[in-house]
Amino acid sequence: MEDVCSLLNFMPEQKNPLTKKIAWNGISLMMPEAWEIDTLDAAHMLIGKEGTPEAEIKWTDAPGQFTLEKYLKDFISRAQKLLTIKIREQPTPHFFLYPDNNFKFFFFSWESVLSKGTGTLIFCPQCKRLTMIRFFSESKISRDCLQALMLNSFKDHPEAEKINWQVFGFNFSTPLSLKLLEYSFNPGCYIINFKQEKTIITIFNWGPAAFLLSKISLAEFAKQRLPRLKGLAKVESLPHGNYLEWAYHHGRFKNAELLPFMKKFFTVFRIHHNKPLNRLFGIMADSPDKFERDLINRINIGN
Amino acid sequence: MSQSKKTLKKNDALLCIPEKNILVEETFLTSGDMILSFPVGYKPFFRKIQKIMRKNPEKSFTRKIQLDSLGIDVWKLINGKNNVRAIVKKFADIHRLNYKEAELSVTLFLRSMGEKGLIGIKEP
Repeated sequence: MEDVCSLLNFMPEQKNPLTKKIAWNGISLMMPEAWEIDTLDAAHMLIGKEGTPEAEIKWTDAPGQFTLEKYLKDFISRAQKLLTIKIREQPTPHFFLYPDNNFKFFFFSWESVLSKGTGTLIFCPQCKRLTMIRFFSESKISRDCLQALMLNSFKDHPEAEKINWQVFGFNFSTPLSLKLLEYSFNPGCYIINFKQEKTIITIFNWGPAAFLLSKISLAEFAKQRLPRLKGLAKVESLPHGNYLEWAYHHGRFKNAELLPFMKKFFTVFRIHHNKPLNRLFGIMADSPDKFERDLINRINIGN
Repeated sequence: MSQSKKTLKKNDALLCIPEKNILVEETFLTSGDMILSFPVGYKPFFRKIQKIMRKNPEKSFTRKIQLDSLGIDVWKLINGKNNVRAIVKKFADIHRLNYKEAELSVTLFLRSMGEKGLIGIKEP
């Protein structure tokens, strides 16, 4: 069998094969353009190329008190059961013994009934997160092979106190305080929900915009998708174009905000038509308390 | 003798080539939408009723389907040469969609067209 890894080797003067970045819930790495996310969970993703699995990533945050040995053992045991694979330890390639990013790498080979491959456990001494990346390729990991490049591009720390989200055409950053609540990726409408104390932030991504706005205006589209929007929208500007903004108070039920003793909720919704990407990006903040408007300013959607 | 139903794997299904039903007629509306008209035979139950009523049971009626601009784009890409994967890629390029998003929408659309008898699928 041909050594896939050697086929994928590239010389320094050649173009880097990793052109696509994926970032999800705290982790990020580079991968080839043709690779796509096949399944996605809060702490798991399966990446494939034209329907064939290429890599699987699973990660977990450390328990309160732990020893690395026990932590690794527990994680391996759980992964073996969950993924129905057998994991065997392999020596760490010398070029991964002292990586620049201070990660600790533990290499392994895995085998299931239908396939086998190689993989790595990555322990981050700073955030104590443990990540397993397994490749559906049996080739040994050499210095410049695709797998090694992917591992070298791996990050599990937020940059500049922000978490980057880069999947399915989304590309935005959230403050560290926002936690992922739920998400749905249906064709034409992607939604991700975050929570910060009592504030719910929802990010929308609709497309293709040219089709969605072929018969109606942006404001009409927003009111059609979110009928609860109240009042008129005002036009604000972003470096890459204008956006519409609705800001209003509302109650738990119809007209409840008019009652003086009822708690009021405050909603801000922004929608932006990104013409180059042919998408409509929306962001909604819903809070019972008066929250910092700056919070949604800090989430750059549609960049 | 039992007839076993052949199931295709996703990869093989994406290599299949959809082909239009030659009986389908296309009409463009002023709104830009397209109407596809095609003859449909009565279901067995209604055929029996036709027989009882001494009418021709083989008689068919015309069913119409309206396609929006996205549907028209996929319909145009069905030419008996493009396989499903090629249609998905071209559709994703036209609308600057993510491949996965285009794959889901196009395969759902093709499945519904196939169920209605508007297209047939041939294996490569």
